[in-house]
Amino acid sequence: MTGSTPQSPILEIRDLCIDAVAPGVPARRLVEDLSLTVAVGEVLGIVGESGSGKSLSAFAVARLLPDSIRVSGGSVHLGGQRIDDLDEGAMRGLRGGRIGFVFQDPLSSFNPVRSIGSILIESIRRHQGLDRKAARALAVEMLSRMRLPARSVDAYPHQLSGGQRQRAMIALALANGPDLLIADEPTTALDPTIQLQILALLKQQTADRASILITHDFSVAAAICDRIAVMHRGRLVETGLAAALLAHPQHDYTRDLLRHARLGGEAS
Amino acid sequence: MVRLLTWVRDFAFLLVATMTVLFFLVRLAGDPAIMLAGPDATPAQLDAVRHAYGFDRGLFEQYLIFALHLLRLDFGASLVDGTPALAKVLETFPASLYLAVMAMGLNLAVSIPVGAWLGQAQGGAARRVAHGILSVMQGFPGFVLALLLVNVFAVGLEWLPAVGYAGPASWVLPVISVASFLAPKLIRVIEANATAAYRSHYVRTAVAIGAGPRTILWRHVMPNALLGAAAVVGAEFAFMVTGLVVIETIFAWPGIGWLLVRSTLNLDFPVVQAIVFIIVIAVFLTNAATEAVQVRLDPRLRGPGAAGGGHG
Ligand SMILES: Nc1ncnc2c1ncn2[C@@H]1O[C@H](COP(=O)(O)OP(=O)(O)OP(=O)(O)O)[C@@H](O)[C@H]1O
Ligand SMILES: [Mg+2]
Repeated sequence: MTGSTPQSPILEIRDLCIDAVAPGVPARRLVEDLSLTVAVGEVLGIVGESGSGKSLSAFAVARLLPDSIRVSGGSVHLGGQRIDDLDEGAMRGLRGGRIGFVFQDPLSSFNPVRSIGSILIESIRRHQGLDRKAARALAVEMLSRMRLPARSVDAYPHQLSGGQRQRAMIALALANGPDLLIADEPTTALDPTIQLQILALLKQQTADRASILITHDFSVAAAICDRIAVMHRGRLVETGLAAALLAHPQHDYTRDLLRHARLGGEAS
Repeated sequence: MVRLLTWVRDFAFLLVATMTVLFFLVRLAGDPAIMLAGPDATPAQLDAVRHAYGFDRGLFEQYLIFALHLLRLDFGASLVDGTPALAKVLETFPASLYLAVMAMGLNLAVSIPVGAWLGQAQGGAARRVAHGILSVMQGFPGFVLALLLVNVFAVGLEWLPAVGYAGPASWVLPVISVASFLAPKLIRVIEANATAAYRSHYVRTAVAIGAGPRTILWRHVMPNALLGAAAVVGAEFAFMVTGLVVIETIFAWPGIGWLLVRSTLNLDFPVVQAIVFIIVIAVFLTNAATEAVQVRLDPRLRGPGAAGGGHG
């Protein structure tokens, strides 16, 4: 599909349009004609200023959108199969199964009255049909793979540190071996020192799947992304191999973003 | 251990303070000697009655005697019929407790599903109608509804007894009256909490792991919504154990609310004091139970624990 990726894409988004719908007012276009592909082993970075439509575009893949937001055009293929027209039940099978999500704020993203393990076990049982004991064993294994102690399976979110919670979130996203991993600003809510650990951990998990990393931080994108897509006001501005795009941005908007990022980097 | 000691200390303080304030309050209410000796009594007869019951002693001396007896849980005899005051109260308390427990059971059985249903996505005609009904019910004084129910089902249709405390049929109207007074508030709290939970990030996570609407409601939303409702349930229960004075009077339900009204009108100090004593204990236990339930529902109230540690 794209000349730069030899392997066939796992995820293929074509001409995706997303609207905000509210009763009584005309639909408002939020994302327009977005086309992207991500191949096995590839990490695609989506960068762009706040409100440019990065999160909506990524969440739209699994229709993980609020009621007031609707996909109004285009298609999404996962592993060659069209998924945007699946019914809700089939889509549920993909969410957490073949598509794993890592969210920005791991504290608010874990239910405060449920243990970390209970959420993991729920997801594992739902998608793999394991019994409680086996699911718990797998949950412990996933957590330890994220270098969390086995006892964190019984921990509640408030009992873990921010970094630990995000590791648990990554364990949850990967629990059922997804083909596609979507991480939306996974390190923004964390201390700078922990950000690097989390990014390294994420990078290790990207080998045999397609991954999307949403970030507004070019240094994060440069560190772990193979390709970068730049979004501006709901449109794709340009896309290219990370090194090439960072060295020779083609588009004025990308140049602006990069310049601001560099200024910001020097200032801080 | 320390927790238990604080608990006992608070409890003792509350009891002493309440009983002391009450002692002086009831003695401002009127002269029981007139009630005891009858309206036609001569001043000499009144004095004799006052002397016999110790009302002629100094107020502080009376208080000391009262306090000493209180230590032995001796509230004295009812001024009306001479039976021990505490025994009289303990005889009526179960009726109030049954009414409270049954009304709370019905309240929960209605409020949890209705609150959950209303908390799910907004809009819909049925939901608007439900909100209208709730608003009307909330503006309705509890006793008006009770009187309406009595008129329709007991007086009009003659399906159910209007008054008394004999068998399940006589419980229906009082229990419904009390529950329909409690439910609107609890429904609103559960609805508001559920609505907030639906908008939360953790529900988005639940969707992201493939949970269906039912799992999301009962395993992700409601545990949080009920957590916020526990305080309301506790407060409603505490309100009920202080005696449902109006409801018990309307239905001639022989509970402590009904006894409190009668004893106050008769200036039956010993019984009033024993009632308040029991109420203070009941409210204190209710609050303690509420707290225990909240700790059970909310892991954050159980302290940091030792599940984390290790890596940053
Ligand atoms: N529930 C919603 N209803 C209406 N508009 C929305 C809603 N959610 C997002 N939007 C709008 O859609 C646009 C894109 O939002 P999106 O969350 O995808 O931005 P983003 O690129 O992820 O930004 P950020 O970096 O701040 O997360 C924004 O202009 C936002 O105002
Ligand atoms: Mg976003």
